[in-house]
Amino acid sequence: MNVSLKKSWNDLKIHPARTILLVFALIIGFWGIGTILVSYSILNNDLNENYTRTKPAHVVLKSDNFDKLNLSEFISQSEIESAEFRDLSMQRIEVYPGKWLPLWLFGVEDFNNFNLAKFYKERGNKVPDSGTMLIERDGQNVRISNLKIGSKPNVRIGKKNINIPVTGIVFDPSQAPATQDAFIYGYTDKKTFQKIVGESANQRLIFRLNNVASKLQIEERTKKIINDFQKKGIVISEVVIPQYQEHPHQFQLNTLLMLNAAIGLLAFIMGAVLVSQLMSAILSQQIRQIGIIKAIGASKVQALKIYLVMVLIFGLASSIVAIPLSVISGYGYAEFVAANLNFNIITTSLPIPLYLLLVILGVFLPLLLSLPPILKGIRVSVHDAINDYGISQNTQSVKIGVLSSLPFSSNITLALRNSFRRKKRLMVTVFTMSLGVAIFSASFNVKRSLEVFLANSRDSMKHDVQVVLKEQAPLKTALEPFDNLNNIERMETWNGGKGRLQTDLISTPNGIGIVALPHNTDLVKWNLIAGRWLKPTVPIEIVMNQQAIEKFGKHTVGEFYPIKIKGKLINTKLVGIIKEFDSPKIYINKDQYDALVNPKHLVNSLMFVAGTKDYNSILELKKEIENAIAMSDLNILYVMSQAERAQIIYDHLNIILIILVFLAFLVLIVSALGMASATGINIIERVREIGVMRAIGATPRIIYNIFVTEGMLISGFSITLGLLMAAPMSYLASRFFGGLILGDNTSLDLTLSLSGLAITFFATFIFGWIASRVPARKAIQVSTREALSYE
Amino acid sequence: MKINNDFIQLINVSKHYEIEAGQFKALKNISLNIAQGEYLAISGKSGSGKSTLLNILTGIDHPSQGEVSINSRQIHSMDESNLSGWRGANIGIVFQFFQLIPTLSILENLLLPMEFVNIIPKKGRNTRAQSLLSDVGILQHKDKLPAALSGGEQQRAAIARAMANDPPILVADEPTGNLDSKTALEVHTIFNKLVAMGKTIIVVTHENVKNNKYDRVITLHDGEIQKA
Ligand SMILES: Nc1ncnc2c1ncn2[C@@H]1O[C@H](COP(=O)(O)OP(=O)(O)O)[C@@H](O)[C@H]1O
Ligand SMILES: [Mg+2]
Repeated sequence: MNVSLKKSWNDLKIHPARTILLVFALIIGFWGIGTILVSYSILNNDLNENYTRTKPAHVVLKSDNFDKLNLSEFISQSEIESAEFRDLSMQRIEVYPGKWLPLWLFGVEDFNNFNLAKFYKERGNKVPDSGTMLIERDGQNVRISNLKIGSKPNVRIGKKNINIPVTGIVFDPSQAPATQDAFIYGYTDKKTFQKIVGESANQRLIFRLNNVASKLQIEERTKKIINDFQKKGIVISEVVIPQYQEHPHQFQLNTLLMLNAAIGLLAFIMGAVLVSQLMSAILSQQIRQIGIIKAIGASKVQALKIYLVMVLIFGLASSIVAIPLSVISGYGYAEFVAANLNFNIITTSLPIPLYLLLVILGVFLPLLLSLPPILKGIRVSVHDAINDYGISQNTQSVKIGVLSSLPFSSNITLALRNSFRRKKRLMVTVFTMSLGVAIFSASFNVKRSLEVFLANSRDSMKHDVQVVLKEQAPLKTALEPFDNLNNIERMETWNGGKGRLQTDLISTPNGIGIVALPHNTDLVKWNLIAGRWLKPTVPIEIVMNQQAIEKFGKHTVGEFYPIKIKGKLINTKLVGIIKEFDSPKIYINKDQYDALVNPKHLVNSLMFVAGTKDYNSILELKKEIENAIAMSDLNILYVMSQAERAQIIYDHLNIILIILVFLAFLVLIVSALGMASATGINIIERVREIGVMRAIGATPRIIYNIFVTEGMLISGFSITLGLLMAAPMSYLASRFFGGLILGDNTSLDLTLSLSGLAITFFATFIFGWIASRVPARKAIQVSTREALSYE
Repeated sequence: MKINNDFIQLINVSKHYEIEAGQFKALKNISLNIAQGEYLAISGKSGSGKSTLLNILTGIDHPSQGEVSINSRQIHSMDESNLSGWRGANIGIVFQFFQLIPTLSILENLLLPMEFVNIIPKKGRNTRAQSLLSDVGILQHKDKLPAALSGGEQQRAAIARAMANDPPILVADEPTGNLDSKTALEVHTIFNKLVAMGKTIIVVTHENVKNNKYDRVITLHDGEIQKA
């Protein structure tokens, strides 16, 4: 072998601890980044791919008179890609004894042949036997139901309960995950659908358009189609146009990917810093050798080669370990996310450019990062190198006078001086560590802010159980079944329905939820972010939530907006905007609403306030209400307790929160690793000094203490700086999450997480302690003789 | 057999260091000629400027003023990258301590400069290295790492390495400063052999110079050559 190459190799072999440390640091950093890249590549593709492979409907139209439509003629139009009647009826299903969830029951034309809105057989029947149904696989999760093949759950249809056996499980990746939205999706054939539901079939048309690329285009084309229908006498009662090519929970994935990217970038920067730090430490140790090498005739290029080969070996060694690890854990992470969002990982082989990127990162990046310290080392003149004041010059420039005059023990004084000795390294170490602290702490703050937000939105509704009727009913009919309930303090009745905000954007009857409630209700304590709550004045006032504002464009408090409710156009004044986690909604005073469009004072929402409010009593109350409903003639859309509602909201965010804290924890580990390596380098550089100290009487204990004290000092600086950085970071993060949950430009109210703060403190000091303890233990194992003869 | 009396020429060489108290003159106006094949000793007290002079001679350090030429080449005006190749081929250097690459075996330490300079044909390198080691009497240690050798053995290895590319000039900065007198004597014996082979050798020493067979001894005092 070439002797210069041999030198590179031997240098690594002869300091195994240092080599292992560097390779380990490289592997960890690279593994983290690799995992993120791999999972990013998989997830970025797969949710969307899962969704689009089902050929989801572009448009859903409802009408009572589709019998006037010739479907095959409709399909034969050039602009229609495919169309089908896919009926849907909202019912309720008993998922555990006494526990009911909404059932989205689909009536499917042909289970063997889908042209659009496909789903896939997982187990059991592909085609449900007559009178039975298939259910979506996520609905089987024990968290929400005990349904399985062979179950014969009660389904509440109108005023009666019937059993619909489950004969198969399907996978329908186009739906929002059942576990998160607390729905069960069921699928029956058309005949069974008609028989069970009692509604006539073919009232819901789904179709896909040719040559469209955005929701806007679909909306425009749909407008024309609806007009054509109208000419044929087909009156469309409802239009739904989903986001174009976007899974309903794409936002969760987007957030995760964003977090991944952001934290991956940080981990990357930290890893990069680590590598260049270690390399410059190694180089500064080799300065004399570089001098000798040059003195015996090596050119700069020859010297450069020796060190580049060394780094190349580092890069290769860590890549060989880290790339397979990254692929494994990247898939693992993707599987975890996929399980939570109910989709399948379909990427079986990663794209070649990704592997190339990984190799480049693993092999060439360390080279690139090491180049500056290597060049710096190589550039030192033979003369300076042999005298060895090349690189280490100017590092002791910090005034130590102040430090030594402080009333510390000589240990601490020495530790302080040592910390400041390599000013740049100290700065880098403290900075990376504090970045870790900042992210970690900010994650806790955001988590806390979200929890507070959820608690607030739970508390904002003072009712405990809400019963929503499918069809509005006279007050007396609605209340009768609940006369004999025990634990009821009082109740309120609301109304509401779909209204239409007249916007320029689209005039299809795309409804918005209207909630008519007593203006002076004390069941809600809204979080107003602009204007005020409703007053029973003329003109009629409305309050919108942030989601409505976002969906329907900019609306200004104080302006008038026309709303179409039940065919009547009403001019209303927007007086306030509230912040809540819900679908777009408009709130209006019930008396005024009744006067305008509800002369019979029908109701469709019953708000129950419990007397005893502990969790069990409320669940008991809910059960009683369910029983009362079961014996009544009421047609119920859903019954929900506030506790469950909060749970559903929380479930939507939970996966993001878990991953946020987990990633932040990883960052903290990487930064601790950075610190361990910095301490390690300090010790390597000072082995001789350790020998001298030992020779003049320092016990191993004293030396150990000096290094651990140094670590603790660095942790202390890092925590201080990290917490300072956490403040703006938390602010930005709560803006980001606020925007995500509540709509653009809405921030979560930033809440400091005290427990998070405690954990951050604790974790950082523990990590700092371990990170300095491990190398410090090594330091005291070096014998005095070894230390003194160390080069 | 003195072929060229102006083989190495220093003309009015001075070296100044900027220090806090102002300018420190490490070498003051040194003029010196060294003949090819000469065995020259530079003596003087510690701090008198011996190492500085030697470093300027090898191009490791640059003079503040004056000219240095070796075999008609202007050393003082060459840049680092030209110098290192030239130096590798023309001057062998032996330092007082820390010389050998600690992570390479003795044999490999000798092969390294041959690889860098690339004037000895590849095939002959191993044999040459072994014969050099045998010349200095440490062939049996060729596969050991430097740390496994005694100080005297390391110094001999360093001399062997300095001769790796068969340079006409050998310089040594207190090569025996760290060695006991018996080992020091062995080193000097090697130098004598090399001089006999026609090498030009310049040795810095602060020991008693009378017992040795130097062709010439110059003494530095506060950066100036003392008149004998
Ligand atoms: N880089 C430098 N900066 C300032 N003074 C120096 C430097 N290098 C050497 N000197 C001074 O120059 C003088 C000569 O040094 P040197 O040639 O090493 O002496 P010797 O080898 O004779 O002991 C000494 O006083 C030394 O302190
Ligand atoms: Mg000297």
